[in-house]
Amino acid sequence: MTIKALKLFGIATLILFAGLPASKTLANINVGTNQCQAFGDSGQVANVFNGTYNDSSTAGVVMVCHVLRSPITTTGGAAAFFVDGDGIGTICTLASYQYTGVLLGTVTVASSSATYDLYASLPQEQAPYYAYIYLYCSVPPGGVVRGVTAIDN
Amino acid sequence: MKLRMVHALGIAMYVASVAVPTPSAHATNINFGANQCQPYFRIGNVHNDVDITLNFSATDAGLIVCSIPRTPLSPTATTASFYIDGSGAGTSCALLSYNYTGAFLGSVSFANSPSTYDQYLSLPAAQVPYYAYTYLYCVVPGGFSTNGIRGVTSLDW
Repeated sequence: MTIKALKLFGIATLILFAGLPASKTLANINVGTNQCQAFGDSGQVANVFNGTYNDSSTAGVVMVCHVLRSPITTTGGAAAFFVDGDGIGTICTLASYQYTGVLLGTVTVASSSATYDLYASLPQEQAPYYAYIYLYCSVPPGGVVRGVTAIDN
Repeated sequence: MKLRMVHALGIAMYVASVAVPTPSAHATNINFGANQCQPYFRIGNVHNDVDITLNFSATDAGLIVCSIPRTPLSPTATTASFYIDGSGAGTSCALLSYNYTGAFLGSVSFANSPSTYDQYLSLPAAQVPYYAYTYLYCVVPGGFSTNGIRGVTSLDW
Protein backbone atom coordinates (compact mmCIF):
# COMPACT_ATOMS: atom_id res chain seq x y z
CA MET A 1 0.00 0.00 0.00
CA THR A 2 2.86 2.37 0.83
CA ILE A 3 4.41 1.63 -2.54
CA LYS A 4 1.17 2.53 -4.26
CA ALA A 5 0.98 5.77 -2.29
CA LEU A 6 4.51 6.62 -3.26
CA LYS A 7 3.76 5.76 -6.86
CA LEU A 8 0.75 8.04 -6.87
CA PHE A 9 2.72 10.81 -5.25
CA GLY A 10 5.45 10.28 -7.80
CA ILE A 11 2.96 10.58 -10.62
CA ALA A 12 1.50 13.70 -9.04
CA THR A 13 4.95 15.21 -8.63
CA LEU A 14 5.86 14.34 -12.21
CA ILE A 15 2.72 16.04 -13.45
CA LEU A 16 3.49 19.07 -11.31
CA PHE A 17 7.02 19.49 -12.58
CA ALA A 18 6.17 18.58 -16.14
CA GLY A 19 3.69 21.44 -16.14
CA LEU A 20 0.08 20.38 -16.47
CA PRO A 21 -1.43 21.82 -19.66
CA ALA A 22 -4.24 24.23 -18.97
CA SER A 23 -6.34 22.45 -21.58
CA LYS A 24 -6.17 19.12 -19.80
CA THR A 25 -9.70 17.78 -19.68
CA LEU A 26 -9.17 14.22 -18.55
CA ALA A 27 -11.07 13.51 -15.38
CA ASN A 28 -12.58 10.71 -13.39
CA ILE A 29 -15.93 9.56 -14.68
CA ASN A 30 -18.32 8.08 -12.15
CA VAL A 31 -21.32 6.27 -13.55
CA GLY A 32 -24.06 4.23 -11.93
CA THR A 33 -25.10 0.92 -13.40
CA ASN A 34 -28.77 1.33 -14.13
CA GLN A 35 -27.91 0.69 -17.76
CA CYS A 36 -26.56 -2.82 -17.08
CA GLN A 37 -28.33 -5.76 -18.69
CA ALA A 38 -28.48 -9.48 -18.15
CA PHE A 39 -26.09 -11.27 -20.50
CA GLY A 40 -28.15 -13.45 -22.83
CA ASP A 41 -30.37 -15.79 -20.86
CA SER A 42 -28.12 -15.83 -17.84
CA GLY A 43 -30.87 -14.63 -15.55
CA GLN A 44 -32.96 -11.65 -14.61
CA VAL A 45 -31.75 -8.34 -13.33
CA ALA A 46 -33.54 -5.55 -11.52
CA ASN A 47 -32.61 -2.03 -12.55
CA VAL A 48 -33.46 0.02 -9.50
CA PHE A 49 -32.56 3.50 -8.37
CA ASN A 50 -29.19 2.72 -6.89
CA GLY A 51 -27.78 0.03 -9.13
CA THR A 52 -28.58 -3.19 -10.94
CA TYR A 53 -29.41 -6.21 -8.83
CA ASN A 54 -29.49 -9.91 -9.44
CA ASP A 55 -33.17 -10.50 -8.85
CA SER A 56 -32.77 -14.16 -8.05
CA SER A 57 -32.37 -15.44 -4.52
CA THR A 58 -31.03 -18.75 -5.74
CA ALA A 59 -29.10 -18.34 -8.99
CA GLY A 60 -26.29 -16.15 -10.24
CA VAL A 61 -26.55 -13.85 -13.22
CA VAL A 62 -24.06 -12.35 -15.64
CA MET A 63 -24.46 -8.62 -16.19
CA VAL A 64 -22.98 -6.56 -18.97
CA CYS A 65 -22.46 -2.83 -18.64
CA HIS A 66 -20.88 -0.13 -20.69
CA VAL A 67 -18.01 1.75 -19.12
CA LEU A 68 -17.42 5.42 -19.80
CA ARG A 69 -13.86 6.66 -19.88
CA SER A 70 -11.57 9.34 -21.23
CA PRO A 71 -8.52 8.35 -23.28
CA ILE A 72 -5.26 7.91 -21.41
CA THR A 73 -2.93 10.81 -21.98
CA THR A 74 0.08 9.72 -19.94
CA THR A 75 2.59 7.59 -21.85
CA GLY A 76 2.94 4.28 -20.11
CA GLY A 77 -0.20 4.91 -18.12
CA ALA A 78 -3.03 2.56 -17.43
CA ALA A 79 -6.77 2.48 -17.87
CA ALA A 80 -7.83 2.05 -14.27
CA PHE A 81 -11.24 1.55 -12.75
CA PHE A 82 -13.06 0.96 -9.51
CA VAL A 83 -16.03 -1.39 -9.61
CA ASP A 84 -18.38 -1.08 -6.64
CA GLY A 85 -21.20 -3.19 -5.35
CA ASP A 86 -22.38 -5.85 -2.95
CA GLY A 87 -22.14 -9.63 -3.13
CA ILE A 88 -19.40 -11.89 -1.88
CA GLY A 89 -18.01 -13.98 -4.72
CA THR A 90 -18.79 -11.45 -7.44
CA ILE A 91 -16.39 -11.83 -10.36
CA CYS A 92 -15.98 -9.00 -12.83
CA THR A 93 -14.07 -8.78 -16.07
CA LEU A 94 -13.21 -5.59 -17.88
CA ALA A 95 -12.69 -6.24 -21.57
CA SER A 96 -11.10 -3.78 -23.95
CA TYR A 97 -11.96 -3.85 -27.62
CA GLN A 98 -10.48 -1.74 -30.35
CA TYR A 99 -13.02 0.29 -32.30
CA THR A 100 -12.57 -2.27 -35.05
CA GLY A 101 -13.82 -5.03 -32.76
CA VAL A 102 -10.45 -6.60 -32.01
CA LEU A 103 -10.08 -7.84 -28.45
CA LEU A 104 -7.13 -6.04 -26.89
CA GLY A 105 -7.09 -7.35 -23.37
CA THR A 106 -9.02 -8.25 -20.27
CA VAL A 107 -8.59 -8.05 -16.53
CA THR A 108 -10.61 -9.96 -13.97
CA VAL A 109 -11.17 -9.13 -10.32
CA ALA A 110 -13.21 -10.87 -7.63
CA SER A 111 -14.88 -9.87 -4.41
CA SER A 112 -14.13 -11.65 -1.19
CA SER A 113 -16.29 -9.34 0.88
CA ALA A 114 -19.98 -8.54 1.06
CA THR A 115 -19.41 -4.95 -0.06
CA TYR A 116 -16.66 -4.53 -2.58
CA ASP A 117 -14.59 -1.75 -4.06
CA LEU A 118 -12.54 -3.55 -6.69
CA TYR A 119 -9.62 -1.96 -8.48
CA ALA A 120 -8.74 -3.15 -11.98
CA SER A 121 -6.45 -1.76 -14.63
CA LEU A 122 -5.35 -2.43 -18.17
CA PRO A 123 -2.04 -1.26 -19.59
CA GLN A 124 -2.22 1.58 -22.06
CA GLU A 125 -1.36 -0.63 -25.01
CA GLN A 126 -4.51 -2.64 -24.26
CA ALA A 127 -6.66 0.47 -23.95
CA PRO A 128 -5.58 2.78 -26.77
CA TYR A 129 -7.16 6.09 -27.58
CA TYR A 130 -10.25 4.85 -29.38
CA ALA A 131 -10.83 1.56 -27.56
CA TYR A 132 -14.08 0.71 -25.81
CA ILE A 133 -14.25 -0.89 -22.39
CA TYR A 134 -17.00 -3.28 -21.34
CA LEU A 135 -17.80 -4.73 -17.96
CA TYR A 136 -19.05 -8.28 -17.43
CA CYS A 137 -19.88 -9.37 -13.89
CA SER A 138 -21.00 -12.70 -12.53
CA VAL A 139 -23.19 -11.65 -9.65
CA PRO A 140 -24.38 -14.01 -6.91
CA PRO A 141 -28.01 -14.13 -5.80
CA GLY A 142 -29.12 -10.81 -4.37
CA GLY A 143 -25.89 -9.10 -5.40
CA VAL A 144 -25.71 -5.63 -6.91
CA VAL A 145 -23.33 -3.75 -9.15
CA ARG A 146 -23.57 -0.17 -7.97
CA GLY A 147 -21.22 1.77 -10.17
CA VAL A 148 -17.97 2.07 -12.06
CA THR A 149 -15.44 4.86 -11.80
CA ALA A 150 -12.94 5.42 -14.56
CA ILE A 151 -9.88 6.88 -12.89
CA ASP A 152 -8.05 9.85 -14.29
CA ASN A 153 -4.50 8.57 -14.56
CA MET B 1 -11.41 0.68 0.62
CA LYS B 2 -7.80 1.22 1.60
CA LEU B 3 -6.74 1.38 -2.02
CA ARG B 4 -9.26 4.09 -2.68
CA MET B 5 -8.02 5.98 0.33
CA VAL B 6 -4.52 5.77 -1.06
CA HIS B 7 -5.78 7.04 -4.38
CA ALA B 8 -7.56 9.88 -2.63
CA LEU B 9 -4.37 10.60 -0.72
CA GLY B 10 -2.50 10.81 -4.01
CA ILE B 11 -5.08 13.21 -5.33
CA ALA B 12 -4.87 15.28 -2.17
CA MET B 13 -1.09 15.40 -2.51
CA TYR B 14 -1.44 16.50 -6.10
CA VAL B 15 -3.94 19.19 -5.26
CA ALA B 16 -1.78 20.37 -2.38
CA SER B 17 1.24 20.47 -4.68
CA VAL B 18 -0.39 22.66 -7.29
CA ALA B 19 -0.96 26.25 -6.35
CA VAL B 20 -3.99 26.64 -8.61
CA PRO B 21 -5.71 23.35 -9.46
CA THR B 22 -6.89 23.05 -13.03
CA PRO B 23 -10.68 23.05 -12.75
CA SER B 24 -11.18 21.13 -15.95
CA ALA B 25 -9.20 18.23 -14.55
CA HIS B 26 -11.94 17.71 -12.00
CA ALA B 27 -15.16 18.47 -13.73
CA THR B 28 -16.44 18.81 -17.22
CA ASN B 29 -19.87 18.83 -18.77
CA ILE B 30 -21.17 15.46 -19.87
CA ASN B 31 -24.21 15.42 -22.13
CA PHE B 32 -25.81 12.12 -22.87
CA GLY B 33 -29.00 10.74 -24.28
CA ALA B 34 -31.33 8.64 -22.24
CA ASN B 35 -31.48 5.53 -24.41
CA GLN B 36 -29.70 3.65 -21.65
CA CYS B 37 -32.53 4.23 -19.18
CA GLN B 38 -34.35 1.17 -18.01
CA PRO B 39 -37.74 0.42 -16.55
CA TYR B 40 -37.72 0.36 -12.79
CA PHE B 41 -37.98 -3.33 -12.31
CA ARG B 42 -40.83 -3.84 -9.94
CA ILE B 43 -44.28 -2.40 -9.85
CA GLY B 44 -46.20 -4.99 -7.92
CA ASN B 45 -43.96 -7.63 -9.45
CA VAL B 46 -44.97 -6.61 -12.94
CA HIS B 47 -42.54 -5.14 -15.42
CA ASN B 48 -43.54 -1.72 -16.59
CA ASP B 49 -42.99 -1.06 -20.22
CA VAL B 50 -40.33 1.26 -21.57
CA ASP B 51 -39.83 1.96 -25.22
CA ILE B 52 -36.22 2.78 -26.00
CA THR B 53 -36.15 4.84 -29.18
CA LEU B 54 -33.63 6.80 -31.17
CA ASN B 55 -33.87 9.88 -29.02
CA PHE B 56 -35.91 8.85 -26.04
CA SER B 57 -36.70 6.48 -23.24
CA ALA B 58 -40.48 6.66 -23.52
CA THR B 59 -42.95 4.85 -21.36
CA ASP B 60 -46.54 3.86 -21.06
CA ALA B 61 -46.87 5.37 -17.61
CA GLY B 62 -44.10 4.05 -15.48
CA LEU B 63 -40.90 4.42 -13.58
CA ILE B 64 -37.60 4.87 -15.33
CA VAL B 65 -34.12 4.67 -13.85
CA CYS B 66 -31.05 6.09 -15.57
CA SER B 67 -27.39 6.15 -14.70
CA ILE B 68 -25.85 9.61 -14.72
CA PRO B 69 -22.22 9.90 -15.71
CA ARG B 70 -20.40 12.74 -14.02
CA THR B 71 -16.94 13.96 -13.26
CA PRO B 72 -15.90 14.81 -9.72
CA LEU B 73 -16.50 18.37 -8.61
CA SER B 74 -13.69 20.86 -8.49
CA PRO B 75 -12.46 21.63 -4.96
CA THR B 76 -14.18 25.00 -5.00
CA ALA B 77 -17.56 23.79 -6.27
CA THR B 78 -20.50 24.19 -3.95
CA THR B 79 -23.05 22.17 -5.92
CA ALA B 80 -23.34 19.27 -8.33
CA SER B 81 -25.71 20.43 -11.04
CA PHE B 82 -27.66 18.74 -13.79
CA TYR B 83 -30.23 19.46 -16.46
CA ILE B 84 -32.94 16.88 -17.04
CA ASP B 85 -34.64 17.16 -20.43
CA GLY B 86 -37.71 15.46 -21.72
CA SER B 87 -41.39 15.56 -22.54
CA GLY B 88 -44.57 14.65 -20.74
CA ALA B 89 -46.65 16.99 -18.61
CA GLY B 90 -46.69 15.83 -15.03
CA THR B 91 -43.32 14.10 -15.07
CA SER B 92 -41.63 13.82 -11.69
CA CYS B 93 -37.97 12.93 -11.21
CA ALA B 94 -35.60 12.42 -8.32
CA LEU B 95 -31.85 12.62 -8.51
CA LEU B 96 -30.16 10.49 -5.89
CA SER B 97 -26.58 10.36 -4.69
CA TYR B 98 -25.01 7.29 -3.14
CA ASN B 99 -21.48 6.86 -1.96
CA TYR B 100 -19.47 4.03 -3.51
CA THR B 101 -20.12 2.05 -0.36
CA GLY B 102 -23.85 2.18 -0.97
CA ALA B 103 -24.56 4.78 1.70
CA PHE B 104 -27.35 7.17 0.71
CA LEU B 105 -26.08 10.75 0.67
CA GLY B 106 -28.92 12.92 -0.58
CA SER B 107 -31.57 13.58 -3.18
CA VAL B 108 -33.34 16.38 -4.99
CA SER B 109 -36.48 16.22 -7.07
CA PHE B 110 -38.97 18.04 -9.21
CA ALA B 111 -42.63 17.25 -9.87
CA ASN B 112 -45.44 18.06 -12.26
CA SER B 113 -43.31 19.20 -15.16
CA PRO B 114 -44.74 21.07 -18.15
CA SER B 115 -45.15 19.17 -21.41
CA THR B 116 -41.57 19.89 -22.42
CA TYR B 117 -39.03 20.52 -19.72
CA ASP B 118 -35.44 21.48 -19.21
CA GLN B 119 -35.24 21.04 -15.49
CA TYR B 120 -32.26 22.18 -13.43
CA LEU B 121 -31.44 20.15 -10.35
CA SER B 122 -28.54 20.46 -7.96
CA LEU B 123 -27.22 18.78 -4.88
CA PRO B 124 -24.87 20.35 -2.33
CA ALA B 125 -21.27 19.37 -2.97
CA ALA B 126 -21.16 17.70 0.43
CA GLN B 127 -23.75 15.19 -0.81
CA VAL B 128 -21.76 14.36 -3.94
CA PRO B 129 -18.23 13.54 -2.83
CA TYR B 130 -15.44 12.46 -5.14
CA TYR B 131 -16.45 8.83 -5.57
CA ALA B 132 -20.23 9.11 -5.27
CA TYR B 133 -22.60 7.79 -7.92
CA THR B 134 -25.69 9.68 -9.03
CA TYR B 135 -28.87 8.08 -10.32
CA LEU B 136 -32.02 9.46 -11.87
CA TYR B 137 -35.42 8.05 -11.09
CA CYS B 138 -38.47 9.39 -12.96
CA VAL B 139 -42.21 8.82 -12.95
CA VAL B 140 -43.33 9.50 -16.50
CA PRO B 141 -46.98 9.74 -17.54
CA GLY B 142 -48.23 7.47 -20.29
CA GLY B 143 -47.87 8.29 -23.94
CA PHE B 144 -45.55 6.19 -26.02
CA SER B 145 -43.35 8.17 -28.38
CA THR B 146 -44.35 11.42 -26.78
CA ASN B 147 -43.55 11.18 -23.09
CA GLY B 148 -40.13 10.29 -21.84
CA ILE B 149 -36.66 11.32 -20.79
CA ARG B 150 -34.57 12.77 -23.60
CA GLY B 151 -31.26 13.37 -21.92
CA VAL B 152 -29.29 14.58 -18.95
CA THR B 153 -26.39 17.00 -18.77
CA SER B 154 -23.96 16.92 -15.88
CA LEU B 155 -22.65 20.44 -15.51
CA ASP B 156 -19.12 21.58 -14.96
CA TRP B 157 -19.86 24.08 -12.21
